[in-house]
Order: sequence, then C-alpha cells, then structure tokens
Amino acid sequence: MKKTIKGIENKSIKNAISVLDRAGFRNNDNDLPIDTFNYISRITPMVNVDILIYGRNGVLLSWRDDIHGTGWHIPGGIVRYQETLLYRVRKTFDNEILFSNSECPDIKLPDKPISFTEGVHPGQKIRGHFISFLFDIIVPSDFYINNSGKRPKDKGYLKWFKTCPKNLIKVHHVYIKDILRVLV
Amino acid sequence: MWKTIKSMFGCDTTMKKTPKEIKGESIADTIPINNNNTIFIVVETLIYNQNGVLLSWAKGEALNSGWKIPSGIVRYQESLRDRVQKTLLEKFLLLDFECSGQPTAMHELMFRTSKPQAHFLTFLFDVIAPKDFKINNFDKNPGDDNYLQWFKECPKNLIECNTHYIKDINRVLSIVNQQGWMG
Repeated sequence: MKKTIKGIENKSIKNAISVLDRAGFRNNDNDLPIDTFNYISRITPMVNVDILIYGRNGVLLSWRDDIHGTGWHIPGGIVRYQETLLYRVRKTFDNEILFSNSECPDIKLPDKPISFTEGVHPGQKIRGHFISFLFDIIVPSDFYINNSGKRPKDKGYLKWFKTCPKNLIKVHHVYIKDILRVLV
Repeated sequence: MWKTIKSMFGCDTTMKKTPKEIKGESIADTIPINNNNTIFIVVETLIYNQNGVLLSWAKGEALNSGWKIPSGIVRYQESLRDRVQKTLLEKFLLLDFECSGQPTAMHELMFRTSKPQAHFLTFLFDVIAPKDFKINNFDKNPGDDNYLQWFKECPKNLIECNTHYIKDINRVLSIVNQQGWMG
C-alpha cells in the first residue's frame, strides 16, 4: 500500500518539494521569488528584525502600505535563510535608512536585541506567524534622512516623530511602550 | 569550526560547520517542505528536579551520538510556550510542571556544509519537574535513541550542537545540588 499523508501520495509530495526546490533560487540579496516566499510564509514561522532608531529628533518611522496595513512602522526586515539577525539589521539599516553608499562612522550598530515578540495572526493567509527581534540604534543629532525622492504616503518614506503617531500599524502596537520609552 | 557572535540575553550564538543532518525528530516528516529555505524555530526544555537534569540520548549517524536537551520544533501559528507544553506532554507525559515564563537563552545555529542545509533559532526554557516525576523509558535501553537519564553533573558526551548550553545545564545543576533543594 502506498504511503500517504492526508490522502496524498508521498511521491507527489516529494515531486512538489522538488518543484519548490527549483523555484527557490535566490537573487543577490538572498531573496526568494515572491510566490515561493508567500508559500513558505503560509506554513512556517518567519523571523524578522525591527530597528528602533532614535536620537534628538525623536523616533524614526517609515510609511508602510501592504498586507500588514497602512501607517507608520518601525523599519525592519525578514531574516533570510542562513543569515544572522545582526546581518539583517545591518542590511536593513543600509537599504532602508542610509539608501546610498553614505557611511555613518558615528553610528554604533547593536550587538544584541533588546526584546523579542511572537506574532500569530490566524486570520491572515500569508505571513501569519512572526518571531520578531527588536534592536535599537541611537543616531547623532545631525543624522540626515535621505528620502531619495520619496513623498509622504510613498512606501518607505521616513519621518521623525516626537510622539508616537496614532496611525502606527497595528502589528507594531506591541512596540508602543518601547517608542514611548525612548521618546522620554 | 565554530564561529561565535553575540546575541540576546548576553549569551553567544553559534554558527557551525556541521554534519549532514540533524538526527532525532525528522524535520522532513514533520513539516512538508524542503528545509533549504526555512529557518526552524526550536524550543529546548531544560528539565530538572532534585534528581538532576533530564537528558535524552541522540543516536546519530551524521551527528556524533550523545546526550541532548529534549526539544521540539515550533509549528506554524503555534507559540513557543505551546510547543514547550506539547513537547513535555508528548515525550514525557508531563502535565504538571513549572516553566520559566520567558526563554532563558537563545541561539542561532547554522549548518553550512551540509545537504540538506539547516538554520535554526533555538529558545531554551527552564522546566522544574515535580518531585515524584518518574521517567519512563518503556522498552528502550541505554544507547537507544531518546533513552532518558537524570544527570547530577553535565555529561562530557553532550552532542555538539548542544554544547553552547553547558553553562545553562551547570546553572540549573548548581541549584539542584544546593544542599536541601527540594524543587
């Protein structure tokens, strides 16, 4: 008798996995093709880093408009397979905050997270489970935001806040106390 | 070769060149996906009482055989605490226990030289078992996979990918070995 899982033959499952393997090639940034990524995010927890960037100007938030909602959020990134949390922190900071090749020697990148949270979203078809690690970075008062042509309401638009905005995306409400803590 | 980077809770995280596969719970059987793309979240249960620390034998082919901290892989949309409870129930029929609210350590483990490759985030929970908790090895003998045993000191033949927990094992053993500790 053929071995099955929920009526599907093992051979069919192995074939499907083989197809996924072939569809799992990555680009230079170690990103999966979006459909493969979405599939994986439906069946396994994702790991991500969030970076609480603050200084004299307040807290730096970024505009978001996607499946997780529309509003301000703490910049972050999903940890790719076989990369460390710290690598993704550096990469996110470089890609989403610095943008260009500018170097900021005065900024000390963190060496460990300050907390982690578990986010389970049962109603969500994709990206329904996250383990999120929060890091913090203090930037100097002359730290320059480069929005590189982006306008308000554009995805990734950066802005300083002296108070926690009311339209913080819902999944980041867990960070309100962290935002308020650094704003004091 | 071990590479070490700093991580949360002030402890080290480890990246490791390794053996070909993780022995023990079969990941491929548990989660129907290739593990070339997925970071697995694992809870490790550091179970102890007046008898010492409870470890389980891992009979490895690729990994060296040795003692390991009992563990479980966190499933989709399941909390770390839920998996701790299920691991204790499924592996030890342990319902009544006292567990640390938060993990006491976390490690990043990457197995770079193997196929299938693997990437794990492991969270350690301290679990105090009741005084009258008895291990049941059923028909297993020493040397069999998953054979359980209490230890009053950290064994030398801990499996390699658990050696970063030696200081945690010694931490709870120092509590256990305190004179008069009754759990």
